[in-house]
Amino acid sequence: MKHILVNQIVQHSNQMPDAAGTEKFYVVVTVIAILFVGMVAYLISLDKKIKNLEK
Amino acid sequence: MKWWKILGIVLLFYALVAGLLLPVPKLPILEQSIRNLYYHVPMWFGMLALLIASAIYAGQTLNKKGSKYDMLSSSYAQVAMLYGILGLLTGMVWAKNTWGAYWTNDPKLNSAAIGMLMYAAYFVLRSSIEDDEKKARISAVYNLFCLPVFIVLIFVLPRLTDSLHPGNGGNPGFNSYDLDSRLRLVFYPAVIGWILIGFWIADLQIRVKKLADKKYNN
Repeated sequence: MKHILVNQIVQHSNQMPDAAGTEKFYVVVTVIAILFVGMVAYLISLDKKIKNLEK
Repeated sequence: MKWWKILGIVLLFYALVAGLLLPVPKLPILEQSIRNLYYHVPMWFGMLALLIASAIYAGQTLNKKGSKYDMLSSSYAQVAMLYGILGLLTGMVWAKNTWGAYWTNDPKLNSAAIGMLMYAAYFVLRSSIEDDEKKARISAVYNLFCLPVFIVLIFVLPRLTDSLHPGNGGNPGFNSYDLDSRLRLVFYPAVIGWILIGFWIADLQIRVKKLADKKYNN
């Protein structure tokens, strides 16, 4: 019984669509990367502004 | 810019991109949501690192009686709270996809919420005292009390009872059954990256507060 259940779970997981590998997924990764770059750029600009004020 | 800030950016960028693109083990129920391991868990690691830094400076505040250390302590606690909120939100999304609900009556989740409320009370306490020296001393004592209680709430109590959360209540942690080499490749850089970025944000906040203090005193 336990074996059958485990097999069903494994089958189910194999049927699930793998998000990585679809074209839409790359769009999501690109958007996240752009957002991250934007946030880092904001932190760097803040760092520079504070450095100038400290001088 | 200091080297550790650049390292933080590089590691976090790698963790964000590689965390979504590199292959992960196919685990029942968890499926692709296992990728949240790179974001949810490192946020809690970052939070803990910041809370420890906050407690160390709270100790310094009491030892050396300096408002400078109090400012450092409160800044680290503030960024730790930000990480805590992000950790809770990512955990809730993960819970919805694996357990079927954003919040369950689980000892780990409830303990995390109590811990966060304890630190929320720290900020309420700080804002309720006007005298700076008194505020520094009382909040430092409260901060030093909070950290061990928080650690007991998060790491000890959930292990003593039944829990859905991995690593608690008899459940194996990720480390023992599915944190394989593929996950480790991203997980460890993510932990270091989130910690470094947390300290960078705290550093910015500290410097802004110092500038404001300087302006106020002049």
